[in-house]
Amino acid sequence: MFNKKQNLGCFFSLIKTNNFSLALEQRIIFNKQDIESSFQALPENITKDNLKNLKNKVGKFDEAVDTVLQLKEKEMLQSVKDKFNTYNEKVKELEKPGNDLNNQQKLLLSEVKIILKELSEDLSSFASDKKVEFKSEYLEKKNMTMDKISSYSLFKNAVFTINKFNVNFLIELESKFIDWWNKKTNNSIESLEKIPNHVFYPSFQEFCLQYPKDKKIQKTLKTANKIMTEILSPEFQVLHGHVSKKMKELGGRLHMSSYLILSQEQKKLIKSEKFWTNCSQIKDDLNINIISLDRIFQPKNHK
Amino acid sequence: MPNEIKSKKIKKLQAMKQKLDIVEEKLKKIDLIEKIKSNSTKQ
Repeated sequence: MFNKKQNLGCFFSLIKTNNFSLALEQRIIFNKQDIESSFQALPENITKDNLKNLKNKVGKFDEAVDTVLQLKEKEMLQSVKDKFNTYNEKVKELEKPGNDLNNQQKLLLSEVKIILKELSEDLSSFASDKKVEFKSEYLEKKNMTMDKISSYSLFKNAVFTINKFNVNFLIELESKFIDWWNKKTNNSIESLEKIPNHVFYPSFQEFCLQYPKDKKIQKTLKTANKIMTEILSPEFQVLHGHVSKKMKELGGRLHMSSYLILSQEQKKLIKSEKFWTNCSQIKDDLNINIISLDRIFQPKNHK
Repeated sequence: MPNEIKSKKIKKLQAMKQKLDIVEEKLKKIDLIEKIKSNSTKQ
């Protein structure tokens, strides 16, 4: 059951570093089939409770990453709708009898009406759009399409991109890893794609140790290890449980993705009852129902 | 969100925002003309 927790950590890390684009990329890779097949690949001796916890954690994570995207879209869509409504009202005002518009104004107004009509159609078609699709520089450079990405890529990409290194470095590093893997196992890339992440992760650690002087590779490994350690720590579990409970009491939902962004001081603060009873910022933010923990600590104008 | 990855939906929303900017400009021009008309009437 180690593999999914590792994935979880890497994803959180991407969001922690505000690397939303890569996190969203991972979100697409991390589809329901991948999750199901990963569960099936788990050792037979895993207990029912452990499996339940694991599924729960994966579900929460999936929701958190999804939320990042939804919030971004939601904010933009609201802004577009607000402006659209405001300008429509303005047009109605201008069209009222008694407004003596000259020819130039009439021409401008007719142009405005044409664009607003287009926008009205845009908004209607937007609402009926199917699932969001993404395209990334990483995927383009690798000439990969979404359907070719395996669950192996999920963890691999996250680990390789954890430190916001550039795309070329990631591709180079992956290529090195594949060469090393093939030599080690005499396996093809296809078999690497199929291995469960709990097999992949220790291999990746071993691979990184081949490059003790390569600062970027070592930094990648160090960050991945750090995130894994934190996610698996009892302190993290306790704090997370506490904050989730408080958020539920206040009628909001916890946006887990920002959880690891909190400093030690902030983590201490949110443990206190005083913080939760006095924090008006939380109550305001709850108007949108979903809250990022880091937003609690940011100025209002950040929205 | 960095440029290398943008959802199609967000791209569409950005295109809509651009159209709204054009509308805003045109409405401002209408107001400006109105102001000029009003000033010239006063004089």
